[in-house]
Amino acid sequence: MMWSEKYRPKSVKQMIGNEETRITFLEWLVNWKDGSKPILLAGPPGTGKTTLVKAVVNELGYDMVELNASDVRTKEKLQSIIPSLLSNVGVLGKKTLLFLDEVDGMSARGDRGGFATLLTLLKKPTIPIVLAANAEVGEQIKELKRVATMLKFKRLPPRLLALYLDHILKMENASVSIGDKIRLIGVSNGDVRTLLNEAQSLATAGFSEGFQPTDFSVDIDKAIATFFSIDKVEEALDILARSEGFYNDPRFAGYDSEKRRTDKLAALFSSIVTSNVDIERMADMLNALAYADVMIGKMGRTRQWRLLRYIDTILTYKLFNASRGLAYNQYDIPFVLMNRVFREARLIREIIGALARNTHISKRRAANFLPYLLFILSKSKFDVDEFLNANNMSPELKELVEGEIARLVKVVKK
Amino acid sequence: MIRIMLGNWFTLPRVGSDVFSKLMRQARLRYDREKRMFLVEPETNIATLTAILREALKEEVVIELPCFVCGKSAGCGDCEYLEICDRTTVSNQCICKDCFGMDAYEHYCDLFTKKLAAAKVKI
Repeated sequence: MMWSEKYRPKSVKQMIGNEETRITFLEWLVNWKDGSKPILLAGPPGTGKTTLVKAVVNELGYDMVELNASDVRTKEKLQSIIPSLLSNVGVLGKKTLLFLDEVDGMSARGDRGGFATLLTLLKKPTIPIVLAANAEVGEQIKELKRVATMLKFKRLPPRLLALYLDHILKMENASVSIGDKIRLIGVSNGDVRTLLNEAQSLATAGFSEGFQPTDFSVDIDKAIATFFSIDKVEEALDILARSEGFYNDPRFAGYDSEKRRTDKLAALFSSIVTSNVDIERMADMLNALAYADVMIGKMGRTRQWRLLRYIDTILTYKLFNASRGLAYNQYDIPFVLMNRVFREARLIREIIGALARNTHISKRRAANFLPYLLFILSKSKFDVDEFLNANNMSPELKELVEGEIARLVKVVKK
Repeated sequence: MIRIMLGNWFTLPRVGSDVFSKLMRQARLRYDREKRMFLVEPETNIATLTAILREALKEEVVIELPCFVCGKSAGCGDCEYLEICDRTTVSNQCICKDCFGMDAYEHYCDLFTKKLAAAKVKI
């Protein structure tokens, strides 16, 4: 059983972090009376929104009806489920609480009137209603804040995560080294669920998505060079598996220079595209990388980190014949240029991500709209600070946005 | 250097009406006219707050988390997790080194129960 489920707190007292938010939520439910405003819990995944609701419901003796907003997003579905729930209060002799998760997945304008219907239903609650969302800004959240009280959940500070990890490891009679603990906490990025999943992988299988035990590791350059030169496929697989590198999907975690350097897929890619092999051989190898890249993306989206271990095998067997005699090459473009390209690409991905979240469109569509949006921004009275603040973006992006606008204006003038 | 401990009222040097307006409107900082002091609230955007202050006062702004157990500073400057902790986005209380000892988790949970009782929330 996954530790994240096994040790999911049964009581609000067993949780960690967001202390004031927990107390405020309890106060709201304990003092709830007919007509009290619903609560909107907003914050990143793994910070305890669902756990808090489940724990409090358990402790205060409520029956909880849990709906995922993305499953009941049309007006018809909402009207067939929620009003009957609101009118059946007390029939079973137990208080009922309605928990509507992922409300930010509903479209404020689309979804055939579903969101508007939800807003109407929330105005006169006859039972406690709790909404949960990962986003803290956006059109829906703005509308929801008019009818519900918003409580923000934040990521947990690393030392609190360490406190909880120590407690779980003690319960499991397991241990990890101090270095691994710090790295686990770094990988989890304030998300308790990720922390426990990663810790369980490391403590039980000696493997974690974010890193591999250092005593096994071989430098990425040596590992890839040996991978290309070795004669036996089993040995090639072994050296790839023991390299210090890992598989990381920058769409989820972003890239810094160290991650870029130790990304096995990137190291193989740069070595292949800078080689002098014929076009068919290169196409075969790039197809293999593309297949692995798609698999890594799927594993990331579904949080199946454990499956990443099979990528080494897939790549080795798909690449082995075509890649004999290649040399390791870390960068396919000059380092100075690449550093800038990757830094800016990461920042632009951040902007696109925030726009996509706020407007509930895909990142691809947000990327298409971005130049137009920046051009409009250059012609409007809005300043960049306001734009960043309205979209909850980091002020660090100011320089980049201004640079992009300047470049855009220059191109349009030409 | 300006140190801001979350959860505690703090003062700022005179910043001018434009910056003050930004602090209220963009960073959503709370201001008490009588005390002439500021407070970071749950809805305060701490990243925006630090950026505004850094630009206006040309000084480094350091955010300190308080220890949930003893209420003193959690000692962020000496924390072993300093490099991976973004204090502008994490939950507003942590635990200091002194309180992170044996049975620290149990103490933390007990204290939360006491704070619940102090808030007169019965479960």
